Amino acid sequence: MDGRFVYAAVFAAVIVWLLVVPTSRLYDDDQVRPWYRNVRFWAICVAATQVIIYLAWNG
Amino acid sequence: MELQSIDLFFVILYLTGIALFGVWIGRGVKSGYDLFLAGRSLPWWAVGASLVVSDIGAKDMVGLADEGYRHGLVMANYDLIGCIFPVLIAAFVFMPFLWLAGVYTIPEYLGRRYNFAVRFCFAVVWAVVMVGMLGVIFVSAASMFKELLGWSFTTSVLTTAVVVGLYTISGGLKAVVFTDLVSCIVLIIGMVLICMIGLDKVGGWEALRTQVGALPDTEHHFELVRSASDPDNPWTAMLLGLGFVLGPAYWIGNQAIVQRTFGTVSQAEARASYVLCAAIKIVFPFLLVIPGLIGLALFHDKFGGVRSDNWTGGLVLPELVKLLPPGILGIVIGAFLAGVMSNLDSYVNSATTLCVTDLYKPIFRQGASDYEMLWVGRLLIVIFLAGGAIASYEIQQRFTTVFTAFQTLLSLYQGALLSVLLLGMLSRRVTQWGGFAGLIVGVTSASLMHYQGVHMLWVAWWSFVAAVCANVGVSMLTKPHDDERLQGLVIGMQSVAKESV
Repeated sequence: MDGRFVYAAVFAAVIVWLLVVPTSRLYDDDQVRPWYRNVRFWAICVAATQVIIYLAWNG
Repeated sequence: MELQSIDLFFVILYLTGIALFGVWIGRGVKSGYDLFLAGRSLPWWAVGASLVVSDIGAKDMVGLADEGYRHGLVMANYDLIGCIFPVLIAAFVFMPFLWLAGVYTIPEYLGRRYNFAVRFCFAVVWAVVMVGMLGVIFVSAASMFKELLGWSFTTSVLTTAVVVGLYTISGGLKAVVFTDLVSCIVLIIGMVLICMIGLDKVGGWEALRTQVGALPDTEHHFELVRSASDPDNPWTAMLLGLGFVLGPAYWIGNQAIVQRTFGTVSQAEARASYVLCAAIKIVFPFLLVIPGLIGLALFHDKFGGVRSDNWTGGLVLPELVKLLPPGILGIVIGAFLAGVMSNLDSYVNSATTLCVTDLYKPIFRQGASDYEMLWVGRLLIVIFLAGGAIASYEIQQRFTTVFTAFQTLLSLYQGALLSVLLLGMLSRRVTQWGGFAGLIVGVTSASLMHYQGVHMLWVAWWSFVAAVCANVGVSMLTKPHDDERLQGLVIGMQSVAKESV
């Protein structure tokens, strides 16, 4: 098994979790935030970058 | 090596500037609460940058360049799967929860969740390990200063200890976090300059690949993830030991890391600081490991092959820095100083917080005032710096690279710490004696495996598994705390804590 895909899958799982977790679990209020002030958005971007790094880097 | 006057100017400017800035920003510290948690006034952007350089410091700059030379790009995983993954999880699950618990230290949380025995044991283990960490940082600083400035080991240790002690004693966590912010910027600039100028000397990225690839035993040096059968860094051990144990334990349970998050204004800012840290950390693995590969291409005749038996740690980065032109060299040495100080100040401040909160106050002076804690804390900063300096002499002789020394120290108890923390936070059924058993079994099994020569990543993983089994097993046989006692200490049981905040 190629470890790169497993590592990418770990970060993909983080993205899925961040997408499905209810907002009430992440914030103290139900306020709608613009994307640039939404930490969930930025966390997904970071995790997506990791998926790309592991899949794209082939030694 | 002779420094040009412009380089000396940058070095002196950085040393005096950071000390004065730290003293100025930390003025107005009047209590232990200010010294240890900055009065919970820290903004997320400063804490995010501080988190990065509390993790990445001189030991990583020197150590990962060494490891990059010997093992290649696979070492970047220490900051990718071993850092960004646990930081993202901690940002949304654990840090806001711990912030809400209103604790100063991780052992304080463990004491409230389990009992005083667990708190005491972890506080003592952490205090001892932190002295070792300080020693590791002093060693990495001394190896660089010896090569670049011609300073003796003692001069290097004394200079860094005095500058860091000056602003940490007066300004506490606030001074630490804001000087770290400056350090983070200088560190990134310095490492980018090293990579750019180093790659230029080699002839570019493709030339680097060609030259390194032509050397013996380097066929896997550009692989980010090695095969499961690799003897040094198999992906399985890196995922289980590093990604699932060492990384999470470090980012959830390391007092030197999490303390600044406890000093943020709110839960939301605690979460944002961790996400910012993860974002900044994306570039660091490559900035730290690529210098090692450049060093391999340029200096393999001098240092020997990647499997050389005569390997002397801590020399790759200093040798690379010598290639830099005047002016740039001063900035890069400034970056290195930034790395030394940001690491040192974090560990000193946290070790002090831990000793005052978890050992001095509960054992010796239960009625100690906040003002008394402030002055005991300041005294302990001096003691820890002295202890770290003494430890550095021993560490210098025992380990081939400072990064190995650092990770080995962590692997001995991080498995036990993570098991106790995770089970304590996630399950109300885990009991105080289950936690204690997990701690003892985890640390004992890790020590035995280390003694048997087991790879440190497997030590971390299997000691974690052993600690979980012991914790769960003993918890099944003993009675848990009642729900009222666990309010605010187990995720999902936070109603009382939220109301009180």
